[in-house]
Amino acid sequence: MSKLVNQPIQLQFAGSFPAAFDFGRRFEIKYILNHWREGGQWWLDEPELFVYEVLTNKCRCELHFLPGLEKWILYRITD
Amino acid sequence: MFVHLHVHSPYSFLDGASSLEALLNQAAEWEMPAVAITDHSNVSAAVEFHKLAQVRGIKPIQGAEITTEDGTHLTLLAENNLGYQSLCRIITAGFARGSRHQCLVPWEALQNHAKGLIVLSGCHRSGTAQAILRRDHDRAKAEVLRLVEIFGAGQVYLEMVQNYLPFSKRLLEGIFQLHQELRIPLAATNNVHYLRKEDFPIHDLLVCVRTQTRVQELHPERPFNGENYFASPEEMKRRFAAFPEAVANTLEIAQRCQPALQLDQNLFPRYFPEEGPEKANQFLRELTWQGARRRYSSLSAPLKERIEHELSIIEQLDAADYFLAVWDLVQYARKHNIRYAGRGSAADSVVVYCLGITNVDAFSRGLLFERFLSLERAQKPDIDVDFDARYRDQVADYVYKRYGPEKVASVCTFHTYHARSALRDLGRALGYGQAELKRLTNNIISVPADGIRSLLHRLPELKHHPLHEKKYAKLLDYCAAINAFPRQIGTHLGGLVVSGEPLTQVTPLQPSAKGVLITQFDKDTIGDLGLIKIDLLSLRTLSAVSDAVQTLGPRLQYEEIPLDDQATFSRLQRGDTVGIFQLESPAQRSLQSRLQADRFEDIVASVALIRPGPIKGNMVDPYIARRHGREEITYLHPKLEKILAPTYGVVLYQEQVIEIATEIAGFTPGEADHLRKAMTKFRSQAELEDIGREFITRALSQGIERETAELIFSYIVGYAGYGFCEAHAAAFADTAYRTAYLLEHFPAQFYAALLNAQPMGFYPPNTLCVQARSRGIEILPLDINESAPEFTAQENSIRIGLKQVKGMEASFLESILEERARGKFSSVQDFVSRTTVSRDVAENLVLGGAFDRFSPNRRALIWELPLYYQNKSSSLFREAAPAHSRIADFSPFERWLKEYSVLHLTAQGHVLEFYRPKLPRTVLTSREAAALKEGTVQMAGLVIRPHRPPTRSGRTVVFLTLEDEYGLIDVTIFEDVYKKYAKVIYSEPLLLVTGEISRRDPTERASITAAHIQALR
Repeated sequence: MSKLVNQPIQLQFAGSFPAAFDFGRRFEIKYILNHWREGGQWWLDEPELFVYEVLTNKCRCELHFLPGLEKWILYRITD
Repeated sequence: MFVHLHVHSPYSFLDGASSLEALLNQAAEWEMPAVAITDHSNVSAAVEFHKLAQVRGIKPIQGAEITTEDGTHLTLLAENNLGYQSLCRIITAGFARGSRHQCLVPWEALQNHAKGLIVLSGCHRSGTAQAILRRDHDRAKAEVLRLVEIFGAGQVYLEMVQNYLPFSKRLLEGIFQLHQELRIPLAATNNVHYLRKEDFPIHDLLVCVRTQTRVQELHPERPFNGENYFASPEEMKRRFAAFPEAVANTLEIAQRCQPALQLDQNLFPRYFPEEGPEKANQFLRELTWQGARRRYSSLSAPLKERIEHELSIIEQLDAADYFLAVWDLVQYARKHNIRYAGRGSAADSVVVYCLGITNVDAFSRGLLFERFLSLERAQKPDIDVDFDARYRDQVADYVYKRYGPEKVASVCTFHTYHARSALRDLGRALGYGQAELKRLTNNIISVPADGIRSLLHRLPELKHHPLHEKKYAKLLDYCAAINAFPRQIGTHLGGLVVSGEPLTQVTPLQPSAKGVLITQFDKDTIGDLGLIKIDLLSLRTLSAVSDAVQTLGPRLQYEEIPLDDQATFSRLQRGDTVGIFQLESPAQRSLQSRLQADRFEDIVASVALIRPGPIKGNMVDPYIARRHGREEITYLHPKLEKILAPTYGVVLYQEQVIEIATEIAGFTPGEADHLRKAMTKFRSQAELEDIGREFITRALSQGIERETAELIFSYIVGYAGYGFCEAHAAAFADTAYRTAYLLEHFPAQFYAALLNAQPMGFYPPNTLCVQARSRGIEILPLDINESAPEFTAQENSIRIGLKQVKGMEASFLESILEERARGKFSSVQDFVSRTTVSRDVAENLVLGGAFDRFSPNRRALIWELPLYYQNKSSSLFREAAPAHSRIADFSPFERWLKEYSVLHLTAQGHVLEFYRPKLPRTVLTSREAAALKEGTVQMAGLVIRPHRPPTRSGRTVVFLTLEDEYGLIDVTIFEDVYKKYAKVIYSEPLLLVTGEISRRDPTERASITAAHIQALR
């Protein structure tokens, strides 16, 4: 089961690595499973997007980072 | 340090979004020691890349990204010239295995041509990567081992691309695992498709164009993100922090590779392959002297000296084989009665004249051989020959047979982006619909794609153009970014290269749309590879001449046409020149009536005068005034008199600049031609000043005073860029005069021949018919029982041919002629039942008047046609009687329009005849207007060819021709009037123009200077 969240979060780092974020509860990041970059719909002025699939202490999450805006988003949660 | 070894340039055709210059400038800024260009299945960028890289101190590594027969990618790099040759052969084999649009390299070709190549295992579309992504490790290993087997152990590198795709991590891990198991070294690349990250949209758009998708649509080939840019060495080190060896190895590969191109060799075949060059030199001498004895009644000492001089230069440049090759093919044309005419600067050569290639006597004209060929420039000779367009391919076939198919190919050409094509392609990719695209490209003339904004502000008719809207600003930016990028490869109209060695030694060959093999280098770069181009051009004028000559039979000896025919010159003096080669444009018609040509030299000057340069340089009026003695002829120095006297003191020809530099500054002719070229191509004021200093210094040493030398230099600088080659003008003038003679003495036959050779010339076929009618020649209508396939001329009439009918295919024509040979058609039904002509074309025949002999009611016939076709397909009704319709015929105007729409001309007179009764009497005919000396007139007519040539003042002036039932009159529209009526001028087919009659000279044809313009509806 996965749930689309698409809400901004404050990500905490340990050195340069993402470590944890709070979203109702505290999510501690154990591993970065995969990451990639998406060009976005540039013709609609959509910004570039960095995608991180992470394994936290609770579940798998898909985090999005908007480099132009320095903004992190919890995009999806998967059991 | 890091070296980019997988880079796509715009020659990847819609898959490379940054120019070679931009990429190499960045590489130079980062002090990258080498760069590889690896375009898809081609090396078209190789010469340009080689030169650009070397001037920047960068080692050029030639390569290509190929697709194998199983659809997987590989990156190949040439270690040396042997590797480059392998690359050429591999790509050629790929096109032979695949198709015109797809190069699929057989593995066998890789095995056969692996020498000198380093192979990178490829991007995510490689066999290795695909197997890793399928988690088929064994297969991945086998793919790598296959490469090792083919190319050798030290030649294979595992390519690692970190472009942050969802599968990148897995792919890099898999490649690294192979590296550990097989001990094959790694090589990092970024599979570069553009210079900067922000160029990604341009690349995405180009891919959309290539895949025919819109940005809103998905396509597997569209890039996922903007990471394939020309990343800095630091960025690449960051990306491959876990694999430093992969980065270091790029430098090792770069060190192993050497510049692979060998430029400036001579690959032209020996005329006598088994002999040394001496034999060809000797044979050329024999042919030249034989020709000289044929061409000249006596061989004077200066003539002999001139021929010896030319032969000596040809021998020193090792070019005799080339002259013999061109001589050989014109011999073929001669033997097969194929009309030809040499042109261009080759006509500066007496040897070429003696060989019968050109018809210009360079010796009698005093033409300078050095304009064509000189030791100083040591350029490759370039002889252009026009052939009757119908048989040009036959001559080309002969060349293929003569030298062997592996040694001959057509030169390619690159179709590049300009304003309209960029707007159309990128607009479509951005999702604009057809109607919007039509609006966006409407009235956008042929300018560079980065010149659209300035055009929008320059042209009055674009004042309210939709492209001014803010929402199109990005589209204009994108268009500018792809300006001059090659979109696709095509075939050069006439250029063939002939080589002594198999061509695949220097260029891959690929099939063209026409089916012939083309090189991957165009006319500008092919010479650098050691190949010499022979231009076999198609000239429809020569087709028309041959057609007329054939019709006239023994009544005309074309080669014996007298060059002083008074009636022909009278025609030129009246400016009645529609249909005459090179002399029919409005500007030429006006010039002819002003110049009052009465000798061949006037025609040579005419050809050179009506060019953008002389017009911009204000040379036309002084030339005419001096020609008629109305202006004094002066010379800046007595030495100039001899050079400029034939053109009344005006510098008109390129050859004259060479002579001036020789006489005044003591240059050798070769140096002087070099100077001429430098002056036309200088890139900065400083460069021009350098040239000037040299000229003046050398003139001073010749005893010329500084002031005079400076003045003369300014004189020839003003000329630079607009001079015309006299030899070329003379070659064209010869054909121009002869076509004028044909038009004067055999109008029906020549107009018919011109109509058969369409499309050609300045005017549409209907204008030729109007002109023919004005000379009393009847245009006979299309007739299903009388019309031949072509236009046919009788003494005073021309019958419209069946080929003129829209949609008439060869098979339909064949069927009509076959049946007609059995017996004439007796009715439309009979025609339908006996031929295979489609219903659409039968309808066009009806509308064109082909069946008027059976029933003049064309509308009724159109209604009856379906029944005839039904009868034909169903035997049950075959005997049914033709329908007798009571439908009224089209109105005369409708008949005219429909006939025009299917024939592009009519036998029924002019469209203005329908308007004339409704026009007030104050609206004059072209004949009445032309008879006036001055005054305000009003005239109505069909608009022919509105155009905006460059003008002396630099201001916009529109010229158009109005055609009515009596003939033509030219209209000049100055900027203020043009601004008011621009939209009407370019959108309405019929205009009513009010203006002043204008004549610059009493003899000049009248034209109208427009003051008011409106649509005639």
